[in-house]
Amino acid sequence: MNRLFRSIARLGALIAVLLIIAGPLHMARADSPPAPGTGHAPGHIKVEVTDLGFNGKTDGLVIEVEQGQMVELTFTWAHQSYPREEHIMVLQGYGLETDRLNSSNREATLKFIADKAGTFNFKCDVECDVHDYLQQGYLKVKRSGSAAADGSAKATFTPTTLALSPSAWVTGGEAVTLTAVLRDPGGVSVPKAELSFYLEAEFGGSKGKMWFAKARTDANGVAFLEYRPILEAPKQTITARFDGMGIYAESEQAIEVQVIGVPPSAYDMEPTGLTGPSLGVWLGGTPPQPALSAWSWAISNWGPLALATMVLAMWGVFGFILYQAFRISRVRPRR
Amino acid sequence: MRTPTAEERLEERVFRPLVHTSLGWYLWTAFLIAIIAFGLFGYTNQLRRGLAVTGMRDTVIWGLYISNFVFFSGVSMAGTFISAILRITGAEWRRPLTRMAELTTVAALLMTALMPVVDMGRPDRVLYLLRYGRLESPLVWDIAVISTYLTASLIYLYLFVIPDSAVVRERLRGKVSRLRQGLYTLLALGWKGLPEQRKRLERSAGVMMLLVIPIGVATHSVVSWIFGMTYRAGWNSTIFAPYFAVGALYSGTAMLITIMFLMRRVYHLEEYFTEKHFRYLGYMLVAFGLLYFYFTFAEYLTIGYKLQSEDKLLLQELLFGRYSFLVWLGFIGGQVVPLLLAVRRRTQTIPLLFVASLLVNIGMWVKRYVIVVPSLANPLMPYQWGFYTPTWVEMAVTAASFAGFALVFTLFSKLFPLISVWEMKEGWERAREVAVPSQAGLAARPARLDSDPGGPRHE
Repeated sequence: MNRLFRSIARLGALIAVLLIIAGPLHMARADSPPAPGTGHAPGHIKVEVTDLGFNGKTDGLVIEVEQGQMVELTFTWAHQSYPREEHIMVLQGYGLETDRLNSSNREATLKFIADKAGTFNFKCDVECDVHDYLQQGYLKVKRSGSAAADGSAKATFTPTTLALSPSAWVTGGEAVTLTAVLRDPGGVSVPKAELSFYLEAEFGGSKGKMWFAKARTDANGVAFLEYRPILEAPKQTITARFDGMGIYAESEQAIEVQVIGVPPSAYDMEPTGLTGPSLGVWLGGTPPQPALSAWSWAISNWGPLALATMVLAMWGVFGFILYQAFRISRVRPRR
Repeated sequence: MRTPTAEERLEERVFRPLVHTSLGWYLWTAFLIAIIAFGLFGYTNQLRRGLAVTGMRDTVIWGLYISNFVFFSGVSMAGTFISAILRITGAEWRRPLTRMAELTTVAALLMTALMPVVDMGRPDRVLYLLRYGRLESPLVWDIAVISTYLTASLIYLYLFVIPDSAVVRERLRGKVSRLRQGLYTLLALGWKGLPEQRKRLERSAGVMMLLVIPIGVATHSVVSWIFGMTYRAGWNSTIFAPYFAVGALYSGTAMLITIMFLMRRVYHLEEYFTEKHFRYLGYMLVAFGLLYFYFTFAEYLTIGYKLQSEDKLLLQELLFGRYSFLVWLGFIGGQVVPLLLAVRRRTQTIPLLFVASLLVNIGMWVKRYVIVVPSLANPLMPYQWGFYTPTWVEMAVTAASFAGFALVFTLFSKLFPLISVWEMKEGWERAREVAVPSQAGLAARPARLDSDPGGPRHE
């Protein structure tokens, strides 16, 4: 009887311990944000865009992923009371945006490798009073080591190739349209990719690539840029660069431009100074003629020249005075 | 026992400091060198750590250094300018004070030239102004006129030192070191007082007299244009050039009175710097002071009448705001009180004129500060006032510049006569010719010349 009682007591204690541990665990599970890939393959996250926010959470949906993990973030249009509501979802920090979501195009996916750790805001980018603050979510990318937390290998970026054309051309300063095509190794075009354009330049004694323009690829992975050389350099190197986006790795392509002659000015300068009537004399300004004769240069710079002449003349007189003074020593008494 | 003649008394008086060095002179020189050394310490600190050790920042980019620059350039105006004007107009009373006036110009210009170099932070960048400077820039004009004015003033000073060097060489033979004897011989250029030598010297001096006046005016105009060529409130003025030139004459005259008073006391030159000289300089001080008052009134009236928004901000701060103490100190202390002292017959005494000159010096320095700093602190956008408080480095360098100014006089007084002996003798000779034109062959000097060499005959 005593042994039976002890066995029952031990069993009860065991059940109590299990209940104590399992209860909070269950509650914690119930409170946590939806795990990545809930109901999907790992890394596949589904977000319903409802009248009350992402997955109905008005205070902002939080999603956690591992750094280096391939993520497919699928937004599904699921409004009930607002049939005309439209969205373009953006993921800040990763530079990604979806196609337009509406009642006829109900699903859009952002596919990317979460290579940057930190918390990134994803939200609707269409201006609207109501849903601006409702459609808010946060992607928490947890920092990890060389391998993913579950021991699987990190996802790798898909290489890209950037082709810039024309590969070389000769210009006298006229504008040329640069065409950049971004594709993956399978020849599939990469749309919505932002390309940066750089020019090899020198400023303040340091040489480097100077950013001068941006262009975005269209649905066919093609970006256009109209370029007009304004630097007075016979050979100019232009580099188009894709910094990587989503699942795509970075790539760049350089071309060389040969410029003949002086390129036209990029802007017109307001002439300074005054012109004398019918004389064409400029006071205090630079005349607009590109090539000046010595005479016209002297006329146009009469102010500084007069100053220089005056100062030189003054110093000449000083020299003469000193010469006169030193000649005092040569004076001999007259007999 | 024979009574020494006026020439002998003059030579005895002005040559004495050249051979006798008192303990006081050594102590004074050591004191000045100590201040300069402290200034150099501050400056090396600035060289090592950059201009961040000063109170100057991105908004208020000029402070004490440029205030000193404008002040010293102003002081430099009066010396050579007054000397040249008085020589040209034949004012006989000028003779005892021309040397002092010319030296004031040279000493002040040396400090003037130094201040922008200190202000630049890196002295090697002075070369940039020469290599890359644009002739259209007032800063380049400034370099041109200051170097020209300094050279002109040095030549002008030197020309009248030539005959004195010959006299010093003869009188002090065996009493000074060989090195100094050699220096006097070198500077004297074989001067024997021959008519041909006098002719050459007078001709050269005549040209220089005519040149230094426009150069002096140009210098102060250009200094003013550094400010006046900008759109800044307080500087954007068409009358800045004459305003600065008159201000320079005002402060320069005051500095001349101050220096004359001190040298008179230290070297016992009472016989030569008489009350008459101080009174005449006092009249000049009043004239320039009234002109300066007129320009100040015209400047502030036109600004205050139009009262554009940026001018309003500045005027508010100047007259009633955080700079009001300095502004009113400069106006009342530097203009009203000194002019009252100098204009009244009862207060035209040497000590009170000295006090007036000191007040003008202080007032004009404050005025320079008030011109430079508040205009920079005045916001171009209405919310961002600049702030400036001088640091110990700037104060040390400022003190060193004033000590350097004083040291030039101190050293000069040990090497050369502080009164132009040659000019004084020339004056006496002329007076003799006027007094006894028909008594050729008689004892040349009238009796009263011996008793009062600085007396009415110089008028």
